[in-house]
Amino acid sequence: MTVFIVRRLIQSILLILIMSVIVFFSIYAIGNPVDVLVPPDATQAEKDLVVKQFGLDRPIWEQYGRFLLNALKGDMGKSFRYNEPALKLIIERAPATLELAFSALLITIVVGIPLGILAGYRPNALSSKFIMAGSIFGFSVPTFWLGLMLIMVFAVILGWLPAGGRGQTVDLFGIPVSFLTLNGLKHLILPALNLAAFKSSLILRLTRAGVREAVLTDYVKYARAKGISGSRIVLVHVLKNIMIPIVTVLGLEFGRTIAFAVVTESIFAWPGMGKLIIDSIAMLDRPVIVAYLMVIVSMFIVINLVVDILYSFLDPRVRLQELRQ
Amino acid sequence: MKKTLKFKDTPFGLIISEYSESTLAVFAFFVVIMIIAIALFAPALSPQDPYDLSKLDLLDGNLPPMSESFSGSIYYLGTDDMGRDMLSAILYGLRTSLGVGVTSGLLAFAAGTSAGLLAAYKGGKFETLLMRLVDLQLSFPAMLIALVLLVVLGQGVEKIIMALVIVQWAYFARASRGAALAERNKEYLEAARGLRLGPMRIIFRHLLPNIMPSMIVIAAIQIARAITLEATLSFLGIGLPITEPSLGLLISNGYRYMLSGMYWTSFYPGIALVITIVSINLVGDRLRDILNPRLKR
Amino acid sequence: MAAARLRKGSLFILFILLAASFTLNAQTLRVGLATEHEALDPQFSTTGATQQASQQIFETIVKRDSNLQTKPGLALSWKMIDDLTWEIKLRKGVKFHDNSDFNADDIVFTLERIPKVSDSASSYKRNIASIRETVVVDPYTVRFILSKPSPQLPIDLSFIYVISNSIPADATTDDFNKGKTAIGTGPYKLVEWVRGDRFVVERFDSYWGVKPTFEKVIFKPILNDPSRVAALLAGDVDIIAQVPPVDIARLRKESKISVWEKASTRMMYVHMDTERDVTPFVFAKDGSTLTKNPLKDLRVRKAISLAINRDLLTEKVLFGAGEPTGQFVSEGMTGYIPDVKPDPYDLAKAKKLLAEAGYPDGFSMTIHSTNDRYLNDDQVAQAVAQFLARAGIDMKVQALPGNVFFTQATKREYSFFQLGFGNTTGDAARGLTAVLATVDKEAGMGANNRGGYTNPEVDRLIKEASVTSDEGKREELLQKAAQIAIVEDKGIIPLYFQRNLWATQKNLKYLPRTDEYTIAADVVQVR
Repeated sequence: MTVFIVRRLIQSILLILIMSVIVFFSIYAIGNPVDVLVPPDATQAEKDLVVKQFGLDRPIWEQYGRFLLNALKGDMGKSFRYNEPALKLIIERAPATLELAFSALLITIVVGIPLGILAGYRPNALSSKFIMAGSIFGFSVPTFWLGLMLIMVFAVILGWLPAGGRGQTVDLFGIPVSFLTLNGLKHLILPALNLAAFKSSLILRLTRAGVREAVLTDYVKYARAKGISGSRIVLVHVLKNIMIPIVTVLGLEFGRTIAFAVVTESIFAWPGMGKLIIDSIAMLDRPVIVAYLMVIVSMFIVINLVVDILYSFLDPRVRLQELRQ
Repeated sequence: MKKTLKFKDTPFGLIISEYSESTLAVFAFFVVIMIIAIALFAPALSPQDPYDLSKLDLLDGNLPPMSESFSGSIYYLGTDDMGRDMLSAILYGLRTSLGVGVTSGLLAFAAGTSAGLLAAYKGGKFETLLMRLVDLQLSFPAMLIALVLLVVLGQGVEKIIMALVIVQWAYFARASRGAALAERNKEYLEAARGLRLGPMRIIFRHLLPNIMPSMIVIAAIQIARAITLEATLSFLGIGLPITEPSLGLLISNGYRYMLSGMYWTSFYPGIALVITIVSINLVGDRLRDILNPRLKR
Repeated sequence: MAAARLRKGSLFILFILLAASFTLNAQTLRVGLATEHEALDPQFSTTGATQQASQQIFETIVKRDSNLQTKPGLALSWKMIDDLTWEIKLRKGVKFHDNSDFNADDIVFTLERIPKVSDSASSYKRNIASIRETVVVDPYTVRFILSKPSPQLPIDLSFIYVISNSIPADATTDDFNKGKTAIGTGPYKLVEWVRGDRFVVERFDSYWGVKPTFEKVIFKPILNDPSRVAALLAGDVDIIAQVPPVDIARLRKESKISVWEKASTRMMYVHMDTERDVTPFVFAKDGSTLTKNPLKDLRVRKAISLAINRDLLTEKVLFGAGEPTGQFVSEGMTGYIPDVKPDPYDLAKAKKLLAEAGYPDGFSMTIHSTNDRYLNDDQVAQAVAQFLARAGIDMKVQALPGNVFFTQATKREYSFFQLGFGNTTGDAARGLTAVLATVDKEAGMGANNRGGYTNPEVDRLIKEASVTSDEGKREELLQKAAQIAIVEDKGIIPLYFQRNLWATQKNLKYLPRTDEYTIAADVVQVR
């Protein structure tokens, strides 16, 4: 077990290192941040000064080396644009993104699992066919387009909900959240729904597949033969069996939701990390781009690791030995 | 001998009859055929060449659907801010979207399947390494990888195709390896080995045809995903350049007018995109249901 | 059971919070902005967004009115004693937000800190570059000793936001951002700034000037255009800046909304490679390379300018949010030539000129533009291409993100490209120097001359203007330079000035400005 974790950690560090090299060097290739950052009427002397200030006049290897040394000390560099630590900017934006992702996850669970069970338990019922057709729709409609339509219908035509922004926040244990105020909640609904649509369909289909397989197993057939009620069979016998893969997928999907929030945040002007990265790409704010990707990749590595370990505890059939291969 | 022809076990005719049981799926199939035809013949079908700037007229800009143009023809789906006929723009956009989706899907299919089959056939270190890479890549969201790639590569049709191929090859590699492993010890392969056929010949002439059905399903779903991903990236402004607008870019361009009531510039391209993806997914879904032996009734 | 109690508890909290959210009173002004400031340090960055925030809390030595003309601020008056000495009389009775008094020492402190602000991509150093020494004559009189004559000194001083010398000399940008040292003399004082969410100020009761109408102001960055409009329509904010042009017509029709507008200083223009014989993006119609660059031919440049229908462009693509021009600066600014009108739309003449130049069938060319920097920039580029296509030039359009565009344009990788220039100083000197003077890194000339235009006479006039203190003479020199470089030589082709637009609820009035700042103190109630 320890060997497994240590090995995974070493792999992960290597991965982060490679990522940082690729990102650092490639952003260097796109454009010169100074051309974007300085005022349009800056003189050459002013430009040269800025180049020197940010250390951009040094060879790229030296710049990278310096970045790496500082990163080891937990300093991901300062934003060219804000003159604030890149990591701080990202962490400031994290609660907004996390709130959005959690809300989407909640909707996913509440919508996806019950409908999936329904569709899986009676696969030939008309309602199930509708659910399945709906789910195909749900994962086919591009997230950004769905977002636009939500805005058009609920904000423009009906005028029920705001078109974007985060709304009023209050501090909960020192973290600003918006779901505790009516105004904040109103702002949260559309983006959360938008982000949840694809995931709900995914979880729905997964649940249905699991239920369908479980229904065919001998012990369920036996339970049915014994005359146990349908709801009891589903809730006790079937659900217990399909919960492990669903929980696993939900865990992994949570990470993906955070990464995919880039799209939803852009459409709904949600002030989260995704919005920050898109803005930073536009301004070639290299320290922020690099730091964001490092943070996200590390998060994924941690989530994957935790899921793998939990999986091995929950399901003894899966041995870590297997995972290692 | 019977075993070498796995197609015989589920003959083509059988697939068709089983597929036809779902009217929705049949309908979707014909829609897909129609979309492909539209994409192929877009230049002939369009009332206007939307990218010949000398044919456009600013005076015809932002007209609602069914408006009459300066010269008397009718803009069935309205015009955009440049006076471009939306119907023509959508037909051309469909062509670009489908072109990018299919090209990258096929390239990813070729690269991923080759790698997967080779891994399954060779085994050993190569297989371990390749599959480790595949697992690693699949643990990250495609969106994130594509985002990084496009930041690195820059804009352009060939760049986005490259990014999509890199994002998608892993799905094909994993699926093809899985399918091939199931075949590995079957008689026909042992026979082929016994005949001392070259590994390339065995892989591509004997192994590949046998796993083709399940790979086709994955290809269909991946093409739909590629189209969605391209549209999303173009929407975010890091996909295709404005000179070759896909449906995603059309939606993005129309978006700024949407809230002002000029819904047609982003609504109709969106509908075209949704119809395309939904039909491909419906076909793929149906095929998967048929070809998934675990759920055979 | 426990769960039920928990639910009840959280419901109660919810209720209290809901109640709290409705207590915003009418004395609060809520502003929806299209940008967010990078910092609260008024000496960190000259970007419009950051100055817009500084304008609320701090004051500049010299102020500028809504037409960008200088007016007394913390300085009551200024006069030139000789070519290298200026004397400034300061206002008495001005208090900082910490109730300390403003005097000459604060000016010295302010000027001393500017060069010490680190890691700024657009520093204020340029605005004090000509000042060699600051001499305190008495607590309300200072003298600036210059290193070279600088007729622009009052304009430069209008960029200097005065900070209090009661703060530590080594105060960092971060100290300002946290609010510790963000102490100014402005009509509003800082309450809080939560980056990405809100920037809150409240009325400063000891302000020396006219007290603003609103007690408290909340600035919200709503960067997404449609969202900002929607927020105004929904009544979530009282005023929005940078109204997207497409929505102007609709907002004008709304009975509960007022629209406020004013021509800005940002001139959009087409820049051309007028220097090289072989330019990368111009070809013969069949795609073969041309031996000479058509853009070097004045007749071709004239034809291009005549082929563009600026009125239609601004009306259709910008929905009226642009003012056609044929000059670098707009009316009222130094260097404006009263009798120069925008080139008229004349397709026949354009075709004739092209034929005379030896291109009766045109040629083929790519226009490059940004797609995320200016108002509808990529659409404007497409429209320009459309006009030129009608004149017989085969056009391609390449719209790129600003980060790529500026890098490549500076490397001279384009032939024909469209961009803008903000005349923030209110006169033509800076623009002509940057865009049309011959490139000379040493002298700081031609930093934005990405087309390679060069004319010794223009250089001479610009240089002479930069050391001429006599207002009338200086204006004449700038006009002459602009006349030659733009009107006669077509070194660049001006298209239009962007218009600044604000929209408010009907009960409010805003004094629209030539710069893009939304100044809370300038918002008043009508009823």
